[in-house]
Amino acid sequence: MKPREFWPFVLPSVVVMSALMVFPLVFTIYLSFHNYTLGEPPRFVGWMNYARTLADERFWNSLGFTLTYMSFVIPLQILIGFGLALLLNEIVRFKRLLISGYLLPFIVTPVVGTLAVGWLFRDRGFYTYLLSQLGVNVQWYSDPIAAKALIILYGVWSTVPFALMMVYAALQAMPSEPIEAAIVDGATWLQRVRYVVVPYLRPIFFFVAMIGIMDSFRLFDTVAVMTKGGPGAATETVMYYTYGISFTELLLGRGSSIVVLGVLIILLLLSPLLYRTYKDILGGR
Amino acid sequence: MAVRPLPKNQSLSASSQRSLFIGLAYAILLVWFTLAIAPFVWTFLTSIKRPVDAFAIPPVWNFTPTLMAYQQLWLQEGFYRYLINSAIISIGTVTISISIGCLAGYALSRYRGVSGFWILFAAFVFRALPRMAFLLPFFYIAQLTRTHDTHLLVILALVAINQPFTIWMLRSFFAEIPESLEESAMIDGCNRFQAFWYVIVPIMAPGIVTASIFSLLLAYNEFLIPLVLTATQATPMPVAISQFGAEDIRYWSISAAGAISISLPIVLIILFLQRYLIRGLTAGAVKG
Repeated sequence: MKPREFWPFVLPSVVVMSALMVFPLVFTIYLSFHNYTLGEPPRFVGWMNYARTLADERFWNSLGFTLTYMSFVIPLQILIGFGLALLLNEIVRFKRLLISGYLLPFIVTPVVGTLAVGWLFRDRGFYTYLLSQLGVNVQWYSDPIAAKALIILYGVWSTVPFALMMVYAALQAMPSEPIEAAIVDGATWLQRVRYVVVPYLRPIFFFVAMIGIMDSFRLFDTVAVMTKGGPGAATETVMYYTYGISFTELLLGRGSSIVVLGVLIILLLLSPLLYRTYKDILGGR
Repeated sequence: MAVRPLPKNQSLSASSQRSLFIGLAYAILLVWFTLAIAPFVWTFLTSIKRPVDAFAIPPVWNFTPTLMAYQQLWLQEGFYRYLINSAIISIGTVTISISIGCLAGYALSRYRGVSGFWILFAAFVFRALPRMAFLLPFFYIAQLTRTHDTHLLVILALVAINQPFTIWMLRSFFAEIPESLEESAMIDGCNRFQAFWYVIVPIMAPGIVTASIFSLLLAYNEFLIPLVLTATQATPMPVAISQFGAEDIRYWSISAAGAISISLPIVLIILFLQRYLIRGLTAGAVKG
Protein backbone atom coordinates (compact mmCIF):
# COMPACT_ATOMS: atom_id res chain seq x y z
CA MET A 1 0.00 0.00 0.00
CA LYS A 2 1.30 3.45 -0.93
CA PRO A 3 1.25 6.45 1.46
CA ARG A 4 -1.14 8.19 -0.95
CA GLU A 5 -3.65 5.36 -0.34
CA PHE A 6 -2.84 4.93 3.35
CA TRP A 7 -3.62 8.39 4.67
CA PRO A 8 -7.25 8.76 3.49
CA PHE A 9 -8.04 5.46 5.24
CA VAL A 10 -6.45 6.27 8.60
CA LEU A 11 -7.27 9.98 8.67
CA PRO A 12 -10.72 9.81 10.33
CA SER A 13 -9.38 7.59 13.09
CA VAL A 14 -6.24 9.67 13.56
CA VAL A 15 -8.27 12.90 13.70
CA VAL A 16 -10.59 11.38 16.33
CA MET A 17 -7.71 10.12 18.46
CA SER A 18 -5.81 13.41 18.17
CA ALA A 19 -8.80 15.58 19.00
CA LEU A 20 -10.31 13.38 21.70
CA MET A 21 -7.25 11.76 23.29
CA VAL A 22 -4.00 13.57 22.50
CA PHE A 23 -5.50 17.02 22.98
CA PRO A 24 -7.29 16.15 26.27
CA LEU A 25 -4.12 14.55 27.63
CA VAL A 26 -2.08 17.67 26.82
CA PHE A 27 -4.85 19.81 28.27
CA THR A 28 -4.76 17.74 31.47
CA ILE A 29 -1.04 18.49 31.81
CA TYR A 30 -1.81 22.20 31.25
CA LEU A 31 -4.60 22.13 33.86
CA SER A 32 -2.33 20.45 36.40
CA PHE A 33 -0.29 23.67 36.59
CA HIS A 34 -3.37 25.85 37.09
CA ASN A 35 -6.04 26.48 39.64
CA TYR A 36 -9.47 26.35 38.16
CA THR A 37 -12.89 26.95 39.63
CA LEU A 38 -16.01 26.79 37.46
CA GLY A 39 -16.76 30.03 35.64
CA GLU A 40 -13.34 31.65 36.11
CA PRO A 41 -10.30 31.50 33.82
CA PRO A 42 -7.52 29.11 34.98
CA ARG A 43 -4.82 30.75 37.12
CA PHE A 44 -1.18 29.59 36.81
CA VAL A 45 0.16 28.18 40.09
CA GLY A 46 3.35 26.36 39.07
CA TRP A 47 4.01 23.07 40.88
CA MET A 48 1.59 23.81 43.73
CA ASN A 49 -1.00 21.17 42.73
CA TYR A 50 1.71 18.51 42.61
CA ALA A 51 3.04 19.60 45.99
CA ARG A 52 -0.46 19.41 47.51
CA THR A 53 -1.09 15.98 45.99
CA LEU A 54 2.22 14.54 47.10
CA ALA A 55 1.64 15.89 50.61
CA ASP A 56 -1.85 14.39 50.80
CA GLU A 57 -2.09 11.22 52.85
CA ARG A 58 -5.17 10.19 50.85
CA PHE A 59 -3.10 10.06 47.66
CA TRP A 60 -0.55 7.64 49.13
CA ASN A 61 -3.31 5.65 50.78
CA SER A 62 -5.18 5.26 47.47
CA LEU A 63 -1.99 4.30 45.66
CA GLY A 64 -1.28 1.77 48.40
CA PHE A 65 -4.68 0.14 48.07
CA THR A 66 -4.47 0.08 44.26
CA LEU A 67 -1.11 -1.73 44.43
CA THR A 68 -2.39 -4.10 47.13
CA TYR A 69 -5.41 -4.90 44.95
CA MET A 70 -3.13 -5.64 42.00
CA SER A 71 -0.79 -7.86 43.95
CA PHE A 72 -3.66 -10.04 45.17
CA VAL A 73 -5.98 -10.06 42.17
CA ILE A 74 -3.48 -10.73 39.37
CA PRO A 75 -1.76 -13.84 40.83
CA LEU A 76 -5.08 -15.30 42.02
CA GLN A 77 -6.75 -14.58 38.69
CA ILE A 78 -3.97 -16.33 36.77
CA LEU A 79 -3.73 -19.28 39.17
CA ILE A 80 -7.48 -19.99 39.29
CA GLY A 81 -8.00 -19.27 35.58
CA PHE A 82 -5.12 -21.57 34.66
CA GLY A 83 -6.39 -24.39 36.89
CA LEU A 84 -9.92 -24.17 35.54
CA ALA A 85 -8.70 -23.99 31.93
CA LEU A 86 -6.60 -27.15 32.41
CA LEU A 87 -9.64 -29.02 33.72
CA LEU A 88 -11.94 -27.57 31.04
CA ASN A 89 -9.48 -28.83 28.44
CA GLU A 90 -9.81 -32.40 29.76
CA ILE A 91 -13.57 -32.75 29.62
CA VAL A 92 -15.91 -33.18 26.67
CA ARG A 93 -19.52 -32.62 27.70
CA PHE A 94 -21.31 -29.47 28.97
CA LYS A 95 -18.44 -27.23 27.83
CA ARG A 96 -20.63 -24.62 26.19
CA LEU A 97 -22.87 -24.34 29.23
CA LEU A 98 -19.92 -24.02 31.61
CA ILE A 99 -18.26 -21.38 29.44
CA SER A 100 -21.51 -19.39 29.26
CA GLY A 101 -21.63 -19.26 33.06
CA TYR A 102 -17.94 -18.41 33.34
CA LEU A 103 -18.23 -15.50 30.90
CA LEU A 104 -21.07 -13.86 32.79
CA PRO A 105 -19.09 -12.11 35.59
CA PHE A 106 -16.58 -10.84 33.07
CA ILE A 107 -18.84 -9.23 30.49
CA VAL A 108 -21.85 -8.23 32.56
CA THR A 109 -22.10 -4.49 33.30
CA PRO A 110 -19.60 -3.95 36.16
CA VAL A 111 -22.11 -1.85 38.08
CA VAL A 112 -24.60 -4.72 37.93
CA GLY A 113 -22.04 -7.36 38.89
CA THR A 114 -20.92 -5.20 41.79
CA LEU A 115 -24.49 -4.71 43.00
CA ALA A 116 -25.26 -8.43 42.70
CA VAL A 117 -22.16 -9.54 44.62
CA GLY A 118 -22.42 -6.59 47.00
CA TRP A 119 -25.92 -7.55 48.13
CA LEU A 120 -24.78 -11.06 49.08
CA PHE A 121 -22.25 -9.57 51.50
CA ARG A 122 -24.51 -6.91 53.08
CA ASP A 123 -25.39 -7.37 56.76
CA ARG A 124 -28.65 -9.02 55.67
CA GLY A 125 -27.12 -10.64 52.59
CA PHE A 126 -27.17 -14.34 51.75
CA TYR A 127 -23.40 -14.99 51.98
CA THR A 128 -23.15 -13.08 55.26
CA TYR A 129 -25.97 -15.27 56.54
CA LEU A 130 -24.30 -18.48 55.29
CA LEU A 131 -21.02 -17.50 56.92
CA SER A 132 -22.73 -16.67 60.19
CA GLN A 133 -24.28 -20.17 60.15
CA LEU A 134 -20.70 -21.49 59.94
CA GLY A 135 -19.80 -19.31 62.92
CA VAL A 136 -17.95 -16.68 60.88
CA ASN A 137 -19.31 -13.22 61.59
CA VAL A 138 -17.87 -10.51 59.34
CA GLN A 139 -19.17 -6.99 58.84
CA TRP A 140 -17.94 -6.60 55.29
CA TYR A 141 -18.79 -2.92 54.93
CA SER A 142 -17.73 -1.47 58.28
CA ASP A 143 -14.47 -3.32 58.94
CA PRO A 144 -11.64 -1.73 56.87
CA ILE A 145 -9.75 -5.02 56.30
CA ALA A 146 -12.94 -6.88 55.36
CA ALA A 147 -13.98 -4.09 52.99
CA LYS A 148 -10.61 -4.29 51.24
CA ALA A 149 -10.95 -8.07 51.05
CA LEU A 150 -14.43 -7.68 49.57
CA ILE A 151 -13.18 -5.42 46.77
CA ILE A 152 -10.34 -7.88 46.09
CA LEU A 153 -12.75 -10.86 46.09
CA TYR A 154 -14.91 -9.07 43.56
CA GLY A 155 -11.81 -8.36 41.48
CA VAL A 156 -10.85 -12.04 41.41
CA TRP A 157 -14.40 -13.16 40.67
CA SER A 158 -14.77 -10.78 37.74
CA THR A 159 -11.34 -11.26 36.13
CA VAL A 160 -10.83 -15.04 36.40
CA PRO A 161 -12.92 -15.57 33.22
CA PHE A 162 -10.47 -13.51 31.17
CA ALA A 163 -7.45 -15.56 32.31
CA LEU A 164 -9.50 -18.75 31.91
CA MET A 165 -10.51 -18.02 28.33
CA MET A 166 -7.04 -16.88 27.29
CA VAL A 167 -5.36 -19.99 28.72
CA TYR A 168 -8.09 -22.27 27.38
CA ALA A 169 -7.76 -20.85 23.86
CA ALA A 170 -3.99 -21.29 24.02
CA LEU A 171 -4.37 -24.90 25.23
CA GLN A 172 -6.72 -25.63 22.33
CA ALA A 173 -4.16 -24.24 19.91
CA MET A 174 -1.24 -26.07 21.54
CA PRO A 175 0.49 -28.61 19.28
CA SER A 176 0.01 -32.16 20.57
CA GLU A 177 3.50 -33.52 19.78
CA PRO A 178 5.32 -32.28 22.92
CA ILE A 179 2.57 -33.74 25.14
CA GLU A 180 2.66 -37.06 23.30
CA ALA A 181 6.42 -37.19 23.57
CA ALA A 182 6.16 -36.56 27.32
CA ILE A 183 3.59 -39.38 27.64
CA VAL A 184 5.91 -41.76 25.80
CA ASP A 185 8.66 -40.75 28.21
CA GLY A 186 6.36 -41.77 31.07
CA ALA A 187 5.65 -38.31 32.47
CA THR A 188 2.69 -38.08 34.87
CA TRP A 189 -0.08 -35.55 34.30
CA LEU A 190 1.41 -33.12 36.81
CA GLN A 191 4.86 -33.43 35.27
CA ARG A 192 3.45 -32.75 31.81
CA VAL A 193 1.72 -29.64 33.13
CA ARG A 194 4.81 -28.44 34.95
CA TYR A 195 7.42 -29.06 32.23
CA VAL A 196 5.47 -28.81 28.96
CA VAL A 197 2.30 -26.77 29.40
CA VAL A 198 3.48 -24.02 31.77
CA PRO A 199 6.52 -23.01 29.68
CA TYR A 200 4.31 -22.98 26.58
CA LEU A 201 1.81 -20.68 28.31
CA ARG A 202 4.35 -18.19 29.68
CA PRO A 203 3.57 -15.46 27.08
CA ILE A 204 -0.15 -15.81 27.87
CA PHE A 205 0.49 -15.36 31.60
CA PHE A 206 2.58 -12.29 30.83
CA PHE A 207 -0.15 -10.80 28.67
CA VAL A 208 -2.91 -11.49 31.21
CA ALA A 209 -0.78 -9.95 33.98
CA MET A 210 -0.18 -6.81 31.92
CA ILE A 211 -3.88 -6.40 31.10
CA GLY A 212 -4.48 -7.02 34.80
CA ILE A 213 -2.22 -4.11 35.72
CA MET A 214 -4.05 -1.84 33.26
CA ASP A 215 -7.47 -2.82 34.56
CA SER A 216 -6.48 -2.71 38.24
CA PHE A 217 -5.21 0.80 37.84
CA ARG A 218 -8.57 1.79 36.30
CA LEU A 219 -10.53 0.35 39.22
CA PHE A 220 -13.39 2.73 39.87
CA ASP A 221 -16.86 1.23 39.29
CA THR A 222 -16.61 -1.44 41.98
CA VAL A 223 -15.43 0.99 44.63
CA ALA A 224 -17.93 3.69 43.68
CA VAL A 225 -20.88 1.29 43.85
CA MET A 226 -19.84 -1.07 46.64
CA THR A 227 -18.04 0.88 49.35
CA LYS A 228 -17.76 4.50 48.11
CA GLY A 229 -14.13 4.32 49.20
CA GLY A 230 -15.09 3.52 52.79
CA PRO A 231 -15.07 2.78 55.59
CA GLY A 232 -13.09 6.00 56.04
CA ALA A 233 -10.77 5.93 53.03
CA ALA A 234 -9.87 2.23 53.36
CA THR A 235 -10.93 1.22 49.83
CA GLU A 236 -10.10 4.40 47.93
CA THR A 237 -8.26 3.66 44.68
CA VAL A 238 -6.23 6.21 42.73
CA MET A 239 -9.11 6.67 40.28
CA TYR A 240 -11.70 7.01 43.02
CA TYR A 241 -9.52 9.59 44.77
CA THR A 242 -9.05 11.49 41.50
CA TYR A 243 -12.80 11.46 40.98
CA GLY A 244 -13.45 12.80 44.47
CA ILE A 245 -10.96 15.65 44.15
CA SER A 246 -12.00 16.57 40.59
CA PHE A 247 -15.76 16.21 40.59
CA THR A 248 -16.89 16.23 44.22
CA GLU A 249 -14.55 18.93 45.47
CA LEU A 250 -14.37 20.40 41.92
CA LEU A 251 -10.62 21.00 42.10
CA LEU A 252 -9.84 20.23 38.46
CA GLY A 253 -6.25 21.46 38.73
CA ARG A 254 -5.46 19.22 41.70
CA GLY A 255 -7.31 16.35 39.98
CA SER A 256 -5.21 16.84 36.85
CA SER A 257 -2.01 16.62 38.84
CA ILE A 258 -3.11 13.24 40.24
CA VAL A 259 -3.97 12.10 36.70
CA VAL A 260 -0.52 13.08 35.41
CA LEU A 261 1.19 11.25 38.27
CA GLY A 262 -1.09 8.27 37.66
CA VAL A 263 -0.21 8.18 33.96
CA LEU A 264 3.50 8.18 34.81
CA ILE A 265 3.04 5.35 37.31
CA ILE A 266 1.01 3.17 34.93
CA LEU A 267 3.46 3.71 32.06
CA LEU A 268 6.28 2.66 34.38
CA LEU A 269 4.41 -0.46 35.50
CA LEU A 270 3.58 -1.38 31.92
CA SER A 271 6.99 -0.61 30.44
CA PRO A 272 7.77 -4.33 29.82
CA LEU A 273 4.59 -4.66 27.76
CA LEU A 274 5.16 -1.39 25.91
CA TYR A 275 8.69 -2.46 25.05
CA ARG A 276 7.57 -5.88 23.84
CA THR A 277 4.76 -4.37 21.74
CA TYR A 278 7.21 -1.87 20.26
CA LYS A 279 9.44 -4.71 19.15
CA ASP A 280 6.53 -6.87 17.97
CA ILE A 281 5.09 -4.25 15.63
CA LEU A 282 8.58 -3.43 14.43
CA GLY A 283 9.23 -7.13 13.77
CA GLY A 284 5.82 -7.84 12.26
CA ARG A 285 6.09 -5.15 9.62
CA MET B 1 -4.88 -60.58 19.88
CA ALA B 2 -1.19 -61.07 20.17
CA VAL B 3 -0.33 -57.38 20.30
CA ARG B 4 -2.51 -56.39 23.20
CA PRO B 5 -0.72 -53.32 24.65
CA LEU B 6 -1.42 -53.72 28.36
CA PRO B 7 -2.44 -56.53 30.68
CA LYS B 8 -6.17 -56.42 31.30
CA ASN B 9 -6.16 -55.53 34.99
CA GLN B 10 -3.68 -52.69 34.55
CA SER B 11 -5.72 -51.06 31.79
CA LEU B 12 -8.81 -51.25 33.99
CA SER B 13 -7.14 -49.45 36.87
CA ALA B 14 -5.81 -46.78 34.52
CA SER B 15 -9.26 -46.18 33.11
CA SER B 16 -10.88 -46.02 36.54
CA GLN B 17 -8.19 -43.56 37.60
CA ARG B 18 -9.07 -41.53 34.54
CA SER B 19 -12.78 -41.49 35.34
CA LEU B 20 -12.02 -40.45 38.91
CA PHE B 21 -9.95 -37.58 37.54
CA ILE B 22 -12.71 -36.53 35.14
CA GLY B 23 -15.28 -36.68 37.93
CA LEU B 24 -13.10 -34.46 40.10
CA ALA B 25 -12.60 -32.06 37.18
CA TYR B 26 -16.36 -31.73 36.71
CA ALA B 27 -16.85 -31.17 40.45
CA ILE B 28 -14.32 -28.32 40.57
CA LEU B 29 -15.62 -26.78 37.34
CA LEU B 30 -19.13 -26.93 38.74
CA VAL B 31 -18.08 -25.17 41.97
CA TRP B 32 -16.73 -22.20 40.05
CA PHE B 33 -19.76 -22.24 37.74
CA THR B 34 -21.97 -21.94 40.82
CA LEU B 35 -19.86 -19.11 42.25
CA ALA B 36 -20.00 -17.32 38.90
CA ILE B 37 -23.76 -17.38 38.47
CA ALA B 38 -24.96 -17.41 42.11
CA PRO B 39 -25.01 -13.59 42.50
CA PHE B 40 -27.23 -13.28 39.42
CA VAL B 41 -29.55 -16.08 40.49
CA TRP B 42 -29.88 -14.47 43.90
CA THR B 43 -30.49 -11.05 42.33
CA PHE B 44 -33.19 -12.55 40.13
CA LEU B 45 -34.87 -14.14 43.15
CA THR B 46 -34.70 -10.81 45.01
CA SER B 47 -36.30 -9.05 42.05
CA ILE B 48 -39.39 -11.29 42.18
CA LYS B 49 -39.80 -11.07 45.98
CA ARG B 50 -41.82 -8.54 47.90
CA PRO B 51 -39.47 -6.03 49.62
CA VAL B 52 -40.26 -7.53 53.03
CA ASP B 53 -39.16 -11.01 51.82
CA ALA B 54 -36.13 -9.60 50.03
CA PHE B 55 -34.24 -8.84 53.23
CA ALA B 56 -35.69 -11.52 55.49
CA ILE B 57 -33.13 -13.39 57.62
CA PRO B 58 -33.00 -16.37 57.35
CA PRO B 59 -33.79 -16.12 53.63
CA VAL B 60 -37.32 -16.99 52.54
CA TRP B 61 -37.49 -19.73 49.91
CA ASN B 62 -41.21 -20.27 49.97
CA PHE B 63 -42.49 -17.00 48.56
CA THR B 64 -45.08 -16.07 45.97
CA PRO B 65 -43.25 -14.55 43.01
CA THR B 66 -44.38 -11.09 42.02
CA LEU B 67 -43.50 -8.75 39.17
CA MET B 68 -44.29 -5.72 41.35
CA ALA B 69 -40.67 -4.53 41.36
CA TYR B 70 -40.46 -4.62 37.56
CA GLN B 71 -43.74 -2.75 37.27
CA GLN B 72 -42.56 -0.12 39.71
CA LEU B 73 -39.17 0.18 37.97
CA TRP B 74 -40.43 0.52 34.41
CA LEU B 75 -43.67 2.41 35.02
CA GLN B 76 -43.37 4.52 38.17
CA GLU B 77 -39.62 5.15 38.07
CA GLY B 78 -39.61 5.60 34.27
CA PHE B 79 -36.62 3.33 33.71
CA TYR B 80 -37.39 3.23 29.96
CA ARG B 81 -35.88 6.73 29.65
CA TYR B 82 -32.51 5.33 30.72
CA LEU B 83 -32.92 2.40 28.34
CA ILE B 84 -33.47 4.86 25.48
CA ASN B 85 -30.37 6.82 26.54
CA SER B 86 -28.32 3.62 26.75
CA ALA B 87 -29.55 2.58 23.29
CA ILE B 88 -28.75 5.95 21.69
CA ILE B 89 -25.29 6.06 23.26
CA SER B 90 -24.42 2.43 22.44
CA ILE B 91 -25.63 2.49 18.84
CA GLY B 92 -24.00 5.88 18.18
CA THR B 93 -20.69 4.69 19.61
CA VAL B 94 -20.64 1.40 17.70
CA THR B 95 -21.57 3.04 14.38
CA ILE B 96 -18.87 5.70 14.55
CA SER B 97 -16.08 3.66 16.07
CA ILE B 98 -16.53 0.66 13.79
CA SER B 99 -16.78 2.66 10.56
CA ILE B 100 -13.67 4.74 11.18
CA GLY B 101 -11.98 1.76 12.87
CA CYS B 102 -12.47 -0.51 9.84
CA LEU B 103 -10.87 2.01 7.50
CA ALA B 104 -7.90 2.51 9.80
CA GLY B 105 -7.56 -1.16 10.77
CA TYR B 106 -7.50 -2.20 7.13
CA ALA B 107 -4.91 0.37 6.10
CA LEU B 108 -2.73 -0.41 9.13
CA SER B 109 -2.74 -4.11 8.24
CA ARG B 110 -1.52 -3.33 4.71
CA TYR B 111 0.80 -0.33 5.02
CA ARG B 112 4.47 -0.94 5.88
CA GLY B 113 5.56 2.70 6.36
CA VAL B 114 6.95 4.14 9.57
CA SER B 115 3.92 6.34 10.26
CA GLY B 116 1.74 3.22 10.46
CA PHE B 117 4.04 1.92 13.17
CA TRP B 118 3.77 5.09 15.21
CA ILE B 119 -0.01 5.27 14.92
CA LEU B 120 -0.28 1.70 16.20
CA PHE B 121 2.17 2.27 19.02
CA ALA B 122 0.51 5.53 20.10
CA ALA B 123 -2.88 3.80 20.05
CA PHE B 124 -1.46 1.05 22.24
CA VAL B 125 -0.17 3.54 24.80
CA PHE B 126 -3.58 5.27 24.85
CA ARG B 127 -5.27 1.92 25.31
CA ALA B 128 -3.17 1.43 28.45
CA LEU B 129 -4.12 4.74 30.05
CA PRO B 130 -7.05 5.10 32.44
CA ARG B 131 -10.18 6.94 31.25
CA MET B 132 -9.50 9.65 33.79
CA ALA B 133 -6.48 10.74 31.69
CA PHE B 134 -8.87 12.18 29.09
CA LEU B 135 -12.00 12.85 31.09
CA LEU B 136 -11.18 16.06 32.98
CA PRO B 137 -10.82 18.20 29.83
CA PHE B 138 -14.07 16.69 28.49
CA PHE B 139 -15.80 17.91 31.63
CA TYR B 140 -14.10 21.31 31.44
CA ILE B 141 -14.98 21.87 27.78
CA ALA B 142 -18.52 20.58 28.31
CA GLN B 143 -19.02 23.28 30.93
CA LEU B 144 -17.67 25.99 28.61
CA THR B 145 -19.65 24.92 25.55
CA ARG B 146 -22.79 23.94 27.49
CA THR B 147 -22.73 20.44 25.99
CA HIS B 148 -22.74 18.74 29.41
CA ASP B 149 -25.48 16.09 29.72
CA THR B 150 -25.89 15.52 25.96
CA HIS B 151 -25.77 12.16 24.17
CA LEU B 152 -23.30 13.47 21.60
CA LEU B 153 -20.70 14.33 24.25
CA VAL B 154 -20.89 10.87 25.83
CA ILE B 155 -20.71 9.22 22.39
CA LEU B 156 -17.61 11.23 21.44
CA ALA B 157 -15.87 10.31 24.69
CA LEU B 158 -16.73 6.63 24.24
CA VAL B 159 -15.61 6.60 20.58
CA ALA B 160 -12.27 8.01 21.70
CA ILE B 161 -11.83 5.46 24.51
CA ASN B 162 -12.88 2.70 22.09
CA GLN B 163 -10.76 3.61 19.11
CA PRO B 164 -7.33 2.20 20.08
CA PHE B 165 -8.79 -1.19 21.05
CA THR B 166 -10.99 -1.27 17.93
CA ILE B 167 -8.24 -0.55 15.43
CA TRP B 168 -5.93 -3.10 17.06
CA MET B 169 -8.55 -5.82 16.97
CA LEU B 170 -9.71 -5.04 13.42
CA ARG B 171 -6.14 -4.79 12.18
CA SER B 172 -5.41 -8.28 13.48
CA PHE B 173 -8.49 -9.64 11.67
CA PHE B 174 -7.68 -7.82 8.40
CA ALA B 175 -4.13 -9.17 8.56
CA GLU B 176 -5.56 -12.72 8.26
CA ILE B 177 -7.02 -11.90 4.82
CA PRO B 178 -4.45 -12.43 2.05
CA GLU B 179 -3.47 -9.30 0.14
CA SER B 180 -3.71 -11.17 -3.16
CA LEU B 181 -7.50 -10.83 -2.94
CA GLU B 182 -7.69 -7.07 -3.27
CA GLU B 183 -4.66 -7.05 -5.57
CA SER B 184 -6.48 -9.16 -8.13
CA ALA B 185 -9.54 -6.92 -7.75
CA MET B 186 -7.36 -3.91 -8.40
CA ILE B 187 -5.85 -5.55 -11.48
CA ASP B 188 -9.45 -6.00 -12.66
CA GLY B 189 -9.89 -2.22 -12.43
CA CYS B 190 -11.09 -1.50 -8.89
CA ASN B 191 -9.48 1.37 -7.06
CA ARG B 192 -8.23 0.77 -3.52
CA PHE B 193 -11.45 1.83 -1.82
CA GLN B 194 -13.63 -0.25 -4.16
CA ALA B 195 -11.42 -3.28 -3.55
CA PHE B 196 -11.77 -2.70 0.20
CA TRP B 197 -15.52 -2.14 0.09
CA TYR B 198 -16.60 -4.85 -2.37
CA VAL B 199 -13.99 -7.56 -1.76
CA ILE B 200 -12.52 -7.26 1.73
CA VAL B 201 -15.43 -6.01 3.86
CA PRO B 202 -17.78 -8.89 2.93
CA ILE B 203 -15.07 -11.44 3.88
CA MET B 204 -14.45 -9.52 7.08
CA ALA B 205 -18.10 -9.69 8.22
CA PRO B 206 -17.44 -12.08 11.16
CA GLY B 207 -14.52 -9.94 12.32
CA ILE B 208 -16.62 -6.79 12.08
CA VAL B 209 -19.37 -8.47 14.10
CA THR B 210 -16.80 -9.41 16.76
CA ALA B 211 -15.40 -5.90 16.98
CA SER B 212 -18.93 -4.46 17.08
CA ILE B 213 -19.88 -6.68 20.02
CA PHE B 214 -16.87 -5.50 22.00
CA SER B 215 -17.57 -1.90 21.10
CA LEU B 216 -21.19 -2.36 22.10
CA LEU B 217 -20.31 -3.97 25.43
CA LEU B 218 -17.87 -1.19 26.23
CA ALA B 219 -20.42 1.52 25.53
CA TYR B 220 -23.32 -0.29 27.17
CA ASN B 221 -21.37 -1.17 30.33
CA GLU B 222 -19.59 2.14 30.79
CA PHE B 223 -20.10 3.87 34.12
CA LEU B 224 -17.42 6.49 34.81
CA ILE B 225 -17.75 8.51 31.58
CA PRO B 226 -21.54 9.04 31.73
CA LEU B 227 -21.31 9.53 35.50
CA VAL B 228 -19.09 12.55 34.90
CA LEU B 229 -20.60 13.82 31.66
CA THR B 230 -24.35 13.45 32.28
CA ALA B 231 -26.76 14.78 34.88
CA THR B 232 -30.40 13.95 34.11
CA GLN B 233 -31.14 14.08 30.37
CA ALA B 234 -28.60 11.68 28.88
CA THR B 235 -28.13 9.31 31.83
CA PRO B 236 -27.75 5.66 30.73
CA MET B 237 -28.91 2.64 32.78
CA PRO B 238 -25.72 1.80 34.76
CA VAL B 239 -25.53 5.33 36.18
CA ALA B 240 -29.25 5.40 36.91
CA ILE B 241 -29.25 2.11 38.80
CA SER B 242 -26.20 3.07 40.87
CA GLN B 243 -28.24 5.98 42.22
CA PHE B 244 -31.17 3.85 43.34
CA GLY B 245 -29.50 3.19 46.66
CA ALA B 246 -27.97 -0.24 47.08
CA GLU B 247 -27.61 0.29 50.83
CA ASP B 248 -31.25 1.02 51.53
CA ILE B 249 -32.88 -2.39 51.82
CA ARG B 250 -36.32 -1.04 50.95
CA TYR B 251 -35.07 -0.54 47.40
CA TRP B 252 -33.43 -3.96 47.03
CA SER B 253 -36.25 -5.42 44.96
CA ILE B 254 -36.41 -2.48 42.56
CA SER B 255 -32.63 -2.25 42.18
CA ALA B 256 -32.51 -6.00 41.63
CA ALA B 257 -35.18 -5.72 38.94
CA GLY B 258 -33.05 -3.02 37.30
CA ALA B 259 -29.91 -5.16 37.53
CA ILE B 260 -31.68 -8.10 35.89
CA SER B 261 -33.13 -5.86 33.18
CA ILE B 262 -29.70 -4.46 32.31
CA SER B 263 -28.14 -7.95 32.21
CA LEU B 264 -30.69 -9.50 29.85
CA PRO B 265 -29.17 -8.27 26.55
CA ILE B 266 -25.75 -9.40 27.79
CA VAL B 267 -27.01 -12.87 28.61
CA LEU B 268 -28.45 -13.05 25.08
CA ILE B 269 -25.07 -12.06 23.63
CA ILE B 270 -23.33 -14.79 25.65
CA LEU B 271 -25.84 -17.41 24.56
CA PHE B 272 -26.10 -16.59 20.88
CA LEU B 273 -22.86 -14.83 19.93
CA GLN B 274 -20.45 -16.80 22.12
CA ARG B 275 -18.02 -17.77 19.37
CA TYR B 276 -17.58 -14.12 18.34
CA LEU B 277 -16.94 -13.19 21.95
CA ILE B 278 -14.27 -15.83 22.41
CA ARG B 279 -12.65 -14.97 19.09
CA GLY B 280 -12.44 -11.33 20.13
CA LEU B 281 -11.22 -12.07 23.64
CA THR B 282 -8.30 -14.09 22.40
CA ALA B 283 -7.55 -12.03 19.29
CA GLY B 284 -4.97 -9.83 20.94
CA ALA B 285 -2.85 -12.31 22.80
CA VAL B 286 -2.46 -15.50 20.84
CA LYS B 287 -0.61 -13.66 18.13
CA GLY B 288 1.48 -11.82 20.69
